[in-house]
Amino acid sequence: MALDPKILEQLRQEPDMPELDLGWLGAQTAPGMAAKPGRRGLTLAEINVGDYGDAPERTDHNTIRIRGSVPSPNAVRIGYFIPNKGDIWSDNSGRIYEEAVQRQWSSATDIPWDTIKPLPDVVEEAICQICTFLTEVEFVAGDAPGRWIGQISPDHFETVLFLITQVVDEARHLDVFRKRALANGCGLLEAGGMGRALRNIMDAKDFSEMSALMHLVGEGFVQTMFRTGEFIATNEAEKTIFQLCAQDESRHVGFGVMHLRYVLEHQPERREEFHSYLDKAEELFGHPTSMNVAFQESLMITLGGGDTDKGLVMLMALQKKQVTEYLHRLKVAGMPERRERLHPGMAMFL
Amino acid sequence: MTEEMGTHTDKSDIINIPPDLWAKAEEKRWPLILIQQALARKVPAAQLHQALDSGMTGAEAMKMMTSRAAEQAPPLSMAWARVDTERGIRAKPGKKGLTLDAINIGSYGDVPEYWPGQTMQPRGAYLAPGAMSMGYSISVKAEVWADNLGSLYEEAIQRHWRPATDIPWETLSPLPEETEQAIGQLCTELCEYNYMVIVALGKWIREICYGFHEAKLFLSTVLFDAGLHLEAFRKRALANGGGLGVQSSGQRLVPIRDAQNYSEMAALVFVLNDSFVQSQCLLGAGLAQNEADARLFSLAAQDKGRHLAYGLAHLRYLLEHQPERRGEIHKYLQKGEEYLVKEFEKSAPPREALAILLGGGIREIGEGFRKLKEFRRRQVSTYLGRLESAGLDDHRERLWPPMAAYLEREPVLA
Ligand SMILES: [Fe+2]
Ligand SMILES: [Fe+2]
Repeated sequence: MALDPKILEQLRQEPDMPELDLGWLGAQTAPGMAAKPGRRGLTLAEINVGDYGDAPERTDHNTIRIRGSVPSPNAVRIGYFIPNKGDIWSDNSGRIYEEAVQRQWSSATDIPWDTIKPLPDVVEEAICQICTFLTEVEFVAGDAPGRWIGQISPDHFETVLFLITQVVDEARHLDVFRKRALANGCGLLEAGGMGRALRNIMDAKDFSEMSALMHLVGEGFVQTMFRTGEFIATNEAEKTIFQLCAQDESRHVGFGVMHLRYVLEHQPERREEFHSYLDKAEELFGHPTSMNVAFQESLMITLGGGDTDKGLVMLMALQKKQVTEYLHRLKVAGMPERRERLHPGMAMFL
Repeated sequence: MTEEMGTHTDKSDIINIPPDLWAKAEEKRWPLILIQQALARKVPAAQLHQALDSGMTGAEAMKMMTSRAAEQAPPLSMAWARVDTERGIRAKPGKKGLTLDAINIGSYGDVPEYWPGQTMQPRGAYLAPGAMSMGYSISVKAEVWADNLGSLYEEAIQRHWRPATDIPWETLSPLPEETEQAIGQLCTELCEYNYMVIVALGKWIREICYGFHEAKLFLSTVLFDAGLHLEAFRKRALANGGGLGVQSSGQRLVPIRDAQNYSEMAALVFVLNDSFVQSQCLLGAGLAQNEADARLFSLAAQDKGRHLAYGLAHLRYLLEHQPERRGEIHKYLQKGEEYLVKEFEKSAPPREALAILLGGGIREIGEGFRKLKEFRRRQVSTYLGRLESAGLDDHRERLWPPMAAYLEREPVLA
């Protein structure tokens, strides 16, 4: 409610009173809003009520106006934000965000580092090569969202909040794999094996392209690998690392799946465009220029427990699982036809 | 074969798959690794052609290949294990676990003044030739560095809090209407500021090269904190019957938006603005009329303390390593001060909301304005004290004059 004019008049009469406006009192869009905490505390879902909950389909004010606050005519513009909600939206970001906040972990204290015991040289080297690879690639998934965060309007802040949790998750991933490589007598080994695939993510000029390449392909494959981490791990510490990372990755992949679904539902004309992004990503698999020998060999060693024949079989099984789960995620997102259009380089693994 | 293949050894050694064999493998859908492994096990190319032509599937080939007695040494190149990186590193967890500082051992802990690469090469790893640039542009250590990055990163993770569940929201109870709206107004501005920090960090974190990963990591936690604060203050505004307030003019955000280099942004955010924001959060905690507000504002102030600790340590590092930039930093701060004062003076809502809270209600707003003067004086003097601690002790004379005016005390009446 606006301030009673009589009170305002009285206040203005007071000695030494600076000039008073007070017009902002009672200007609220939807006062009386008193969100109550639910079973999981006071979550975004609880406060997304009424006017405050509506993320507009289109936004074009280009200022930092917090959704639901009263617009100010003299507010400065900050830059150009992506106007269409559909271009960046996913219906699960608020929920994933809350989950990410609850499930943060510490690489310093949540990993049972003391369970790491000396390993045969070749196994330790293989683990360290895997860690070198992962510490290298993990943060691209932090750099890439960072670039998009600044282009998303505060009207669509839920996406921003999710992307932020991804950045901090990837920071922990970079950090935990580096720590593992330096904890047991070896060190970091060879980097630089993933050029094109990662550049594609950084090169993406459209948010959905970035999301397809990173969330669905890149992180999808990493997620499957992390979930089979118990076969790679040689001790509790490594098992815990893979488990915790897998838990984080499932949120990132989950955003990508739901974003694609949202796009296909709201902009069905973009289906072919999505296929073209997936073509671009898939063609790198099985392509000799993207064969990462260091990574594959080290996986063969760890998966086979030293027996490289067994390791090869398991590596093939892992790759098959990666492709299968990838296709399953696309199906969930509303693209079951991808199975028929899978690039031969990737279909090889099936 | 192209340069991007990404192993440092003679690639033809490892995966010299003849083009015709490769094409056939792709056509018959055999994973290339099978061909590579077969060749590594000295299976002649002609035999592989035969196998492919016979209609054998990749899976069958693999079964055949791996069921042979493994009499030879494992057919792996292992070239990656022979690279020249430092070995024998055995970092041990200490009292605070296995921290970032604990793994900075030997060459892995050497952070060079200049990092030449634009790739994602982790510090201390061997970089295979042919790795592609990822476009990182901040490669001078002094531009981002602070000696406390590692410990602040771990601290941020240990002290992470959860707005949904760590604030006793149930302790909120109805406040006088104007007081509640003043809190909503304050929260709105804090949300705006945090959104600006998010936009700014989104722009800058990805510019930092991999050699300074501690900076990338710590700043990721700052970004996360900014998200948490955005979330938490929004929740507060919507949790007790008030609602969000009026959008501010955004003047204080302009210099942050316009920063042309990282250190400029860092001085504006992590020194100037965070100093003022932290005082405001402490004030919010001090004036809180319930446990929820007290906790919310003090947790936010605690996070801000970490951001300030970085900002000041970075400023000190920068001045020590690039003393010629002192004058430049003064200018950035002055610009930030100018716009901050503009926001304080020209826009009524933030000023009046604080006066209501300081006075203790709308009817005491006059008293609130008197207290606000003292509050501003303390804010400026705390800020100057911080600059002095970072080595910028000559800023007092360069303070933007309208901000310096806040330092003048009211004449004491006889
Ligand atoms: Fe990750
Ligand atoms: Fe991820």
